[in-house]
Amino acid sequence: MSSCASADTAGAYLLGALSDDEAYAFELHLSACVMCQHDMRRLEGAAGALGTAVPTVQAPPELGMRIRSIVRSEAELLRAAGPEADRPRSRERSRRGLLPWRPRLALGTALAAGALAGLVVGAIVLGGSPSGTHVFHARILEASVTPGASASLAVTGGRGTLSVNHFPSPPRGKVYEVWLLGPGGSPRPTDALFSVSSNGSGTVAVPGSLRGVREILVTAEPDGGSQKPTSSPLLAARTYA
Amino acid sequence: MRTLLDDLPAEQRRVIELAYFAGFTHTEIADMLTIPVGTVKGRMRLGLEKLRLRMEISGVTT
Repeated sequence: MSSCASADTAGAYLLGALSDDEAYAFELHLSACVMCQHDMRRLEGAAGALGTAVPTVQAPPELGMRIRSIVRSEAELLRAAGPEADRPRSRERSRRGLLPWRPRLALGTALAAGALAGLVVGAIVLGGSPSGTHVFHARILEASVTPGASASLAVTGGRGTLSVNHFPSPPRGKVYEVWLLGPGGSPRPTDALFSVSSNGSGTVAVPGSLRGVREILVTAEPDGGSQKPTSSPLLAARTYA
Repeated sequence: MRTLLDDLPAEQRRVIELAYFAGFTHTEIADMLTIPVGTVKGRMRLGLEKLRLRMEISGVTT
């Protein structure tokens, strides 16, 4: 559509996907490029509205490395599975809040997941990776959970990331909360609260180290989370083989 | 808005989510997905363009 060498840069700029140097260079270019100015005006409304799609969650500093690892793994799986593997499923409502503009340090739980109802999960090691990531498959026992639902815990360097697929949304007014179960038997609360995207999938980082943690539990809790579980665990995943 | 985002083609939704929600740059996303940087930027632009059109159709305002 345009002969401008930066024709596709406006989108990346509006999404905060340029480095600081690239963003500065684009801003200089923008002052003199009518085409890119037009792109900015056309796309900025959509980019700004993304903030209404998810609630704000402060990401732990180590999360970036774990996301990179998971995305690489998913990309490899999707390439192996073919183009139909990632087709969106039918719509389901999900509840989202606000996310600040250009949230470099924030992670939306849009990428997070969960929906569960009385699950107990046994862990099966699916495999390790050259980067030292071990993925434990969660076995879902609760019949009311969406058929085809699955969950897995990826453990890298003693830290975990829980992923779910094809899970229902949490009940209205509730979120899913991750708990850590140690040898003592009493689950410890975390600030890992999540919902699921409309296709029932998502990923949530398990805060802190898994050292001394026997299992990861997930329950449905009132919005904002709880200090003690108010319902039975919906999902549990071991943290070791 | 979440529904509009979820209805995007998966490859466009993914690059938007990784950039906007997870804070990765286009070069980092290209590296993760092993696709060219230009493809990442193109998907971002196409995704935002579709979101804009669907927002107009759905009456979503900012």
